[in-house]
Amino acid sequence: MEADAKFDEKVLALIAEAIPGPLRKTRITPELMLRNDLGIDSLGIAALVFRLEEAFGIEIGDQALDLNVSQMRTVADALNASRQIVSRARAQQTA
Amino acid sequence: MDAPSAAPPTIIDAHCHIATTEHTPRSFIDGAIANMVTALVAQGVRASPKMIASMYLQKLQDPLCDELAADMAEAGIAKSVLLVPDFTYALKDTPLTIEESFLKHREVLLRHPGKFEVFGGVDPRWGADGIALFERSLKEFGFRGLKVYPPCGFSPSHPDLFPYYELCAHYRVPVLLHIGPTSPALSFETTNPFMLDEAARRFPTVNFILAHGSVSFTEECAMMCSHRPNVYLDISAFQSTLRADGSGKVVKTAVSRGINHKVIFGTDWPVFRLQGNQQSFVATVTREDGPLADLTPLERELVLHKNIERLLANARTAVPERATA
Repeated sequence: MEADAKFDEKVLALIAEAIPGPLRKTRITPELMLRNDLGIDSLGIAALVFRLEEAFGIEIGDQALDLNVSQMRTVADALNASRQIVSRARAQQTA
Repeated sequence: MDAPSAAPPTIIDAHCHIATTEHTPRSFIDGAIANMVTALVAQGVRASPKMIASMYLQKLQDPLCDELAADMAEAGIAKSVLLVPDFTYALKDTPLTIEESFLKHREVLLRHPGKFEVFGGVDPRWGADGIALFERSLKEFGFRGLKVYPPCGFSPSHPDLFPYYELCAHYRVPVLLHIGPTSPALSFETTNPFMLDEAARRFPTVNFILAHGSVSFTEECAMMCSHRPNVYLDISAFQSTLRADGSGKVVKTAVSRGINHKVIFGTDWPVFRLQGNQQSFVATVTREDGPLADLTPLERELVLHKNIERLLANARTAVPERATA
């Protein structure tokens, strides 16, 4: 649970970095829409995905090509997708 | 008792394209992707061109405009104008010939009756065949305008375009031309709106729409609209400013110059699909405290649909035949 909480904290920090200026002070909660509430468009989501590599010491590689960023609509979607991406990348690294 | 809510506005999107790589060569798309990668890398993001390309290409899988029609319905857009820039002379990796491209657009007109208009474009260097194709598009296919794309390497006032403008005068259809920057695969040399001036002067009965006039050469576009009765601008590509400023300020500026009888709503779909959908773009422009807030109701109608309707009203072109089962 603690590991989960720390993971979410890291990803939420990455999401906060992607929020454009005027909306930066928004308190991020899981139900918020990435685009409509936080102003994060698909490019911002792509940047978030790439930043997962640095934040978690992983290589996403070709996994990124299967990503459908338009399915990441809310903060909760981004957290879930990030979890999947990181665990798949870690599994590939240890394989 | 609650006050009755206002009817949603009528909206026509005067600047769209079919979302498929059939009509747009990969070299054009790769140029646009290079710009995105550059921006991300500058922010310290280790962006992969392959991933950005994959994301971008996911949004170009709508050859019959079914997704666009659905997006239009969701956004309250009654009709869209599909533009066919002719890249076939300038970029040799364009998958279809321009004639094939025209036929595909005709297919869309028949598939979605009443939802679309088409402005066909032909590179003027294709000579007499190109002129014949364009006239055929007006007489037989039901196209209602000309699309001119100067970044392919010609001025909008080049004499080779005059036969096209003569046809536009005869059939009473407008011309929509790209101005300003585009994919780095092409040149920006011939994209200043003042390059249209000679053509606009020589063909006073032809109406010319300067695409992207809310973001590119905005002062020049405003001058042309103010002083040439037959020149207009569309606001498409305003979405390029939304990452920095979500308010749509550039649209507010465009409609604050006393030329609202010349300003036309457009989205350049699918170019900005990574930044949002039609509903979000319409909401940005039409929200209560948005860029049109200070306009009178009539001025809003002019921008959102009446200006483009006026330009299309007197066309002497074919009516697209209905598809039979």
